[in-house]
Amino acid sequence: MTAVVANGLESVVEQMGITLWRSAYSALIRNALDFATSLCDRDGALVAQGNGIPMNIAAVGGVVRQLSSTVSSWHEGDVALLNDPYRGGTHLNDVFLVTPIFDRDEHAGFAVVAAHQADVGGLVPGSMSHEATEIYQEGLRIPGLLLQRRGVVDPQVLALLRANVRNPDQLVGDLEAMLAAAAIGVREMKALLDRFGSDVVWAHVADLLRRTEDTTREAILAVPAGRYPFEDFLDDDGQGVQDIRIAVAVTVEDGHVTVDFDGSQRQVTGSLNAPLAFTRSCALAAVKCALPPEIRVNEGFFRCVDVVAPRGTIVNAVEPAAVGHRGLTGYRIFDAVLGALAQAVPDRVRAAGEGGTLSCGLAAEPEPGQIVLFRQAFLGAWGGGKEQEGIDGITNAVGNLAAPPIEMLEERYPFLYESYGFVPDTGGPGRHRGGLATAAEIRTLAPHASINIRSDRRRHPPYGLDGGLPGAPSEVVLVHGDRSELLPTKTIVRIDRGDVLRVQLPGAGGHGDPFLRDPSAVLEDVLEGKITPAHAFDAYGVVLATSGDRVDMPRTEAARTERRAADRISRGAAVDPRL
Amino acid sequence: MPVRTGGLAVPLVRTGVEVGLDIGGTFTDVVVRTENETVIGKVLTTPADHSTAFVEGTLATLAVANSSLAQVARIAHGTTLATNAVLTRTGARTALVTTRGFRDVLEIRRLRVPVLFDLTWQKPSPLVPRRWRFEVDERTRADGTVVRDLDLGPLMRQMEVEVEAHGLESVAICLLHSYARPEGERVVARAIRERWPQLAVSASSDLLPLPGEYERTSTVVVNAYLLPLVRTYLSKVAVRLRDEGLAGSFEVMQSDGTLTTVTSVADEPARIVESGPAAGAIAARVECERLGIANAIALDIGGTTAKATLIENGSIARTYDYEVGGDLSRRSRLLNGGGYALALPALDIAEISAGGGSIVSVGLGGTIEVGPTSAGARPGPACYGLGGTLPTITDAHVVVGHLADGQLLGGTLPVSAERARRAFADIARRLDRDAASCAGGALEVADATMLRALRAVSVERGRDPRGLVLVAYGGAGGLHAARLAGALGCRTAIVPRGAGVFSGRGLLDALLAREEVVSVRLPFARLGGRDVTDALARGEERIRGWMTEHLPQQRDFALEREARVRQVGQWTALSLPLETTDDLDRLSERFREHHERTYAHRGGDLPLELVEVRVRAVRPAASAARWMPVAERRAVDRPLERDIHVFRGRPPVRARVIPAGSPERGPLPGPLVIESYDTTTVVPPNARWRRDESGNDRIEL
Repeated sequence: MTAVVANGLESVVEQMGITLWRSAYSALIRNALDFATSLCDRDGALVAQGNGIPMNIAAVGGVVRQLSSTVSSWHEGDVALLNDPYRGGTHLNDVFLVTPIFDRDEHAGFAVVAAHQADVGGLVPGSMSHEATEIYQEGLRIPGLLLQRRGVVDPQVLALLRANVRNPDQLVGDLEAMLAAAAIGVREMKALLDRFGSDVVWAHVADLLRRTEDTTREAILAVPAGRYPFEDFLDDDGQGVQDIRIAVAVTVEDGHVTVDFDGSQRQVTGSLNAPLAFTRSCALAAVKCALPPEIRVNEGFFRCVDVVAPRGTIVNAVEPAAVGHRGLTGYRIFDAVLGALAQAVPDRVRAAGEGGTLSCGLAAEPEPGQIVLFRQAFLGAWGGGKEQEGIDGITNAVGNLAAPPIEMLEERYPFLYESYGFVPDTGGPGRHRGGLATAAEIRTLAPHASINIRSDRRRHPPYGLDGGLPGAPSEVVLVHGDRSELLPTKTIVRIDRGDVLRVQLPGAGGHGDPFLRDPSAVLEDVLEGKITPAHAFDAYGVVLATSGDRVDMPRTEAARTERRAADRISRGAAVDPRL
Repeated sequence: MPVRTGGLAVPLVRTGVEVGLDIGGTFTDVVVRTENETVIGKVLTTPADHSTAFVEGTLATLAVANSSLAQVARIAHGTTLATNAVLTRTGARTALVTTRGFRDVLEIRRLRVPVLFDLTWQKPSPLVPRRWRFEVDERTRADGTVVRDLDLGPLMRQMEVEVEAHGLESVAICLLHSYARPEGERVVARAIRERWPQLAVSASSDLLPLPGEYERTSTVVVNAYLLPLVRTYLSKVAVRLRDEGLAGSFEVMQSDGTLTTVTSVADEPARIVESGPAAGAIAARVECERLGIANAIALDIGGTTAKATLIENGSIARTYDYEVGGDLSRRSRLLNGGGYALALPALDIAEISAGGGSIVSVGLGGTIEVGPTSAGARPGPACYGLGGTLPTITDAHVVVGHLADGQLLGGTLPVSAERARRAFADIARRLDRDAASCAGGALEVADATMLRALRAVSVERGRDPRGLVLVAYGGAGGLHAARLAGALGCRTAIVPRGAGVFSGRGLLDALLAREEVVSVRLPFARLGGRDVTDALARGEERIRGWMTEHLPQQRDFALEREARVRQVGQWTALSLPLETTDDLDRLSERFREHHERTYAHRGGDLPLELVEVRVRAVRPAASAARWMPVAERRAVDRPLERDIHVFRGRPPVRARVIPAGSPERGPLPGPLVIESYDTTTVVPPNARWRRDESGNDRIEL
């Protein structure tokens, strides 16, 4: 019966998600599924979450509790909004919409819809800018207020929202879609309460959370206890702060996990700072990946994991730090926590993936006075695993974004894609090769255009594991005639008609000693054009026969033996992973 | 063994005998309709060569109907051959030609993955490996203008090496923006056909002239991948049927629920991937129409999956974007990327992995779980004694008494309750409950899973299920019908006559049709009257071309028109019927109404955009009467009874059994078990049953 109630709750949040997805306007909601739909109990404990963006996994409860303290008493038909990252939100673009569920006259819980808004005002179109240095530059802040009272939308609130954003129609359209999703949540939750009886449902919800907690604890008990430290880096914040450290220690003890970010970089000048709710979400998402996938996402799971981050650091920013681009930091938090967990559960964690979106905000003026804008996020690759090959051309697991069709982009915007595909030899070498880098070449057709670039993983490429090597670093190059210019990782650059921007993601990390890679797998990569014969030799010690379609085994074995001996001398025998 | 299920009810004007034949994973279902009766047959599928079960099943069933192939006017066929070829990766050695710089589009897909929080997931490998993805230097823009001319030379030289060396059998061609300018693909196709006449060639602009490079590439690749196999199979069947005396036509069910000619399928096999589920949904729609039911949910419960479809105002919504070969365990409709994208019209069917063969297990934390793995036909449910030992949903029905201990399918399939109980022993021990309680729990979990599919097509679309009739069919439809109807809030459930061979029936009910799509992509503000008429004219011209090639004899066709409209900036479009007399204001109003019905709001005042128009030619139905419902002939003289567990945790109740062929028509109160040759229906104590004039079992809750 608990399973039946749990399925019922999942069905409710799924229906909310479908409703939002189908009727939303913005590409971020439609294509990127950059939203989350949730049900909470009266106290804000998460009981079910839909399949939105994993980065939002744990922020909801805090938002509900914050709003409950702002809104003194809830009434049926009330709808509250919040986006303030210093009051439970994650950055200003993520707007949380919360509505209470009443069972007869009793307040029974909350339906929550969070969705990324395309623009909330601020310095630049789209609101997120690496040039922002305090939150006041990042757009409209909503600390928690009622958009709708007892079923009636407050026109003054709507007017205030409209006046502060660049695309009021789209914002209102997306808000309507969020309202519709929340209404479906309320209706369906009521139907569930009617069907089984309120007491029965809530008893089973409590049971569900308890069982999830028990299951999580059992799964954690199966993980070897210990303290697992790891660190990873962001290249820079675009404002002069370089090599931004995310330090983490994951402690597994007595069926409980503590993720401690002590030692992480102080908060930075630019907008990479993450509010605690967001850090917690990304860390929990990483822990979730390391545990059996059957574990449900609800408060019961959260109870087994603590996330600790010192105030005033990049992972727990304090007002008024800018937080717009905290998404990139979120990807790195995910990488760092997984790097720590790889030591504890090596069979569930892969070497690092591409490390987050390489995003290009393109703005052009095809005709004088006519400005077109769009933001494209490129992804991605997965690292090699203990038992899995890396994956070429795939989304990031903590974002699950999708790519828009190039044919549609070309129709709408004055850019021409010259290519979009894999770059050979970029996957981190390993017994299981890391996924290849994807690159795109974009030619400008408008007389002038500007491109706002956010890239990373150039100074700190995606790590390998267990003797596997890092993937190739990212690269952003502007080709102007026969002149090529390497651009900074985060920059806004003005380009002219005919210029080509070439963006290349990093390759993912490899897993295990590359010299232990099955030579036939190396041959397959060569035949597939995913590595060159030279790379097969350099990185894997594999020699191909002159025909090119088979491995020369004797020469391969000789090359591997010789190179191992050389490695042992250069690296020192003690660190050779094979000994 | 085929059985006779009907005698003459209504005299009909009909041109001859018709055969509907659906090949599924386990059984091949045959429905033969002569001038005065309907005969159904079920024979085991012959996986090694489907044409064997096809021809033998047809001949055997015709014999029972005292007919022969020579008298058959048409055979309509549904098959899982195409889906299975993708699932098992047994299609052709296929190459792909793309615009230079874009050969990895097929492999990169839309990036997204179907599972969250699981890094052990593996992406399905592309149907064409990278080494057989060839690039050709050329470039066209979205408006059809050429940026770089096509240079065939290097492509042909590269293929010269690869075609023979690797024994390639089929080639897909997809160039960027070919929907706006198909000439490039045509030049490539012609050159390849001339040089290698043995290769099957598919061009994306012929199959799917729409923007979206991944969807179009994936669709044409699936087509090329299936082409040699489907062509070989269909021509083999066609030859055998002709040899056995068939002079009538041979038609195949497409994913969108319409039939097409066998020659057309031989060029476009990607259109028949959802052949089987579509046929069942069509049968449900037609039966609802006959019964005067405008709004219903059709539910097909098979061995591995349950499929739900919404029938609204007498019609079924279509989708233009789905996946083949995806992971059946996928539980969310928001997450895709598990299979191979197909952007061809299909009936909008929500499929979920719960069926009779779904295996019951104990999950983490001591909860009962059902599926996603299925025991399939082999080893099958434990109670069939075919080698299966793990408990399945079918076993659960036997344990609680819904299915009889003894036999099914008119005695051809033995059933052992003892084996079913033994299969549940391990779970019972682990949960410290008796087998009946565990089986009851498994059925509740299965119901909850199936409800997700039912909700996906009702509540998620903003439709209130309480006003809908549930029509349940497929082998296990009758077992879950009343339970699911109750949970969903429907007042009536119908288990139609012939529920177990419903797909075969739908094949005979379906219309033959051809659809063409023309991409427009213009905001209403910039849309002149000419744009719409020109687009419609282009679609009609393509339809005439198809007719000339595939159905030269057919004269009269009804034309239907449809507009796909969205708000500027939105990514998905809504389908609206389009009349030639429509103006843009009327279309706008229709869009707002549709938007409100679907999303519960009218969608603001943003400008609208006409994405595409679709033109469909439909062959008029051969006859008005569709199914001859008469009592089964086998007489049974005594009422039976057995104990069934209806509510878990309470004692079983004694239910009356209405055996196959019984003259009893009710109305009677539950608990009842209604048995027929092809399905069993359970009526709970709180419901009433009656059999209507058509032989359908109706349950009022």
